Amino acid sequence: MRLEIHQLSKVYQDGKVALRDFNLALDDGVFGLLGPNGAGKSTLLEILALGLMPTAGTIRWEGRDVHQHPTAYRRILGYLPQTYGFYDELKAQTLLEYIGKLFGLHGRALRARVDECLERVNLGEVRRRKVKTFSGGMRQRLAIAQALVSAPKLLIIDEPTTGLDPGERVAFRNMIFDLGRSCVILLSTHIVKDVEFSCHGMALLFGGRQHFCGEPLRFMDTVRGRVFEVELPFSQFDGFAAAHHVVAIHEHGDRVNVRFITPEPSSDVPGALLQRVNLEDAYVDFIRARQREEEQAFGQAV
Amino acid sequence: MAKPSEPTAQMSSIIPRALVPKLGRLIERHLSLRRWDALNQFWIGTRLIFSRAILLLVAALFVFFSWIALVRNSVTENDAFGILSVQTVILAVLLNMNLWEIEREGRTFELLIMRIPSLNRLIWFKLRISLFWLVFLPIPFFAAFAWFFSIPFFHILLYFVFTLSYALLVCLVTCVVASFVHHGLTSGIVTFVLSAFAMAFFKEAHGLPYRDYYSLYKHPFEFATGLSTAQTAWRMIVNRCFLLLVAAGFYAWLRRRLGKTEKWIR
Repeated sequence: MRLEIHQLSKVYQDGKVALRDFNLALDDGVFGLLGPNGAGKSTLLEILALGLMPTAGTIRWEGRDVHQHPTAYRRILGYLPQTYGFYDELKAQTLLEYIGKLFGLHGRALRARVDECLERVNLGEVRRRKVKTFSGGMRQRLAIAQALVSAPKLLIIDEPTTGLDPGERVAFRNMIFDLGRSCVILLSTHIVKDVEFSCHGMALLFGGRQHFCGEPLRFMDTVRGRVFEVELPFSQFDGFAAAHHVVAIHEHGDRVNVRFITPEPSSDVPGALLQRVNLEDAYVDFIRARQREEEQAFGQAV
Repeated sequence: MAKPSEPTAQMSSIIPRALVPKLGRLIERHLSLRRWDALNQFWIGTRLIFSRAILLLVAALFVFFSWIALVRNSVTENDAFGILSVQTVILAVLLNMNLWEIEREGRTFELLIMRIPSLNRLIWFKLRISLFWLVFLPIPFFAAFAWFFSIPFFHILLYFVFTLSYALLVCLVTCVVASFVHHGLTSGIVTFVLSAFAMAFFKEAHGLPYRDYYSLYKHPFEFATGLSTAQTAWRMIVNRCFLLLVAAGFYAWLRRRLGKTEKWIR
């Protein structure tokens, strides 16, 4: 199964460019989409879910243009938008049966599918509870279940772990990873760790442009050898932070452990120890660099 | 992420809460899975249409028009047709004014858009339940008026068909208006004003040529006089075909509006 996106652009009626010349080719597995707010992630997903029309570019599923064959494409598509609603008065099972029926399932096949989806997201025991009594995490899992009812081959998920507690987030991540074995999953998120631990590939969006596309490990190479940690007295922290690119701090008593990224693969800070990099380091470094570029460009323009 | 405090699709039920599970289990036991699914869909769709406010408005509508019929001491078929048709037109507006808005406000529109592969199926899915109630609810009133005013069966059947066909048009107009206005009550008021204007126009514009053929709001026994039965029947058929053509136009417009998903989900 293969999804190909070619030169996709979206310009809104007010002239705002939300997405510019986006290219991507996806096969089975989980693919992550990272970027700050307003980077164009949700716009891209809404276009892929046929909620928005692109200004330019093509999307092909198994070689067929999805805008030429929207009905067939919708049959293989599962979509979990960033904001969504449920019929809260319904029980979880009734809701999924309703959605399955909308999709064209019925009878025993529908029952079996609903049961399977509820079990898969660990909501089997609360199937007869009304949706309005569900916690945020349970609603999120139910949302995934509704996206799975139609047994999609392409699953598009927009910021699914926002608002979940750490335990639920890990469970959710594992579930997505498991689902990725049998379908193409495109996962948009702000939580870098979700991409690091569950995605085999990732794309980075900033200002509607694609800045990176490839394996997370390759992206982490951009900061390899430049991430250090040093222990400082708390009183020195402000001065240190003003001069260095700090990505994380851990306070303990009157001292603080500071994780920072240097411009070059060496550090002149006494006592600084080279660290194993993670995706968050690379992501924060990238965003900081882009913001600095933008500030410089703005300064020159002024 | 949707939290319980966020807006959700409001649903209402006229069956007491405690009775719903018992009734549900009883019916489920006696129905095949396929029929149970269909009934379930119908029940959910009905609950989405009849919010408490709409239920009260529909009840008030029927009470008001029954009272009007009594107070005016209506005795002619003309009076009966006038009352029944206006009542049905308002019912059409009430049943449809919140049809799409409730999904938009409850953020369930995405679910429908994504789950129902084609726009025609989406429109039919939403409209069929309101159309069912539009046909079903006025039947007792038509029957009662026929009995009180001793209207022959064929006459009341024609009144029913003419009224419902105009109401179908009003349904579609309501949906189109709702796609622009995005507020249920406002859409209802705008549609009612438009429909009332159209009704008054077609009723009063006597001087227009070939009026029998294109007058959308038409009393079935007020076609040109001095015609043979076949000629009158022909005019009736052409008239209703013209109405269906206009309804098809509004359907196409609604389909086009719904196709612009950007406007609905943003």
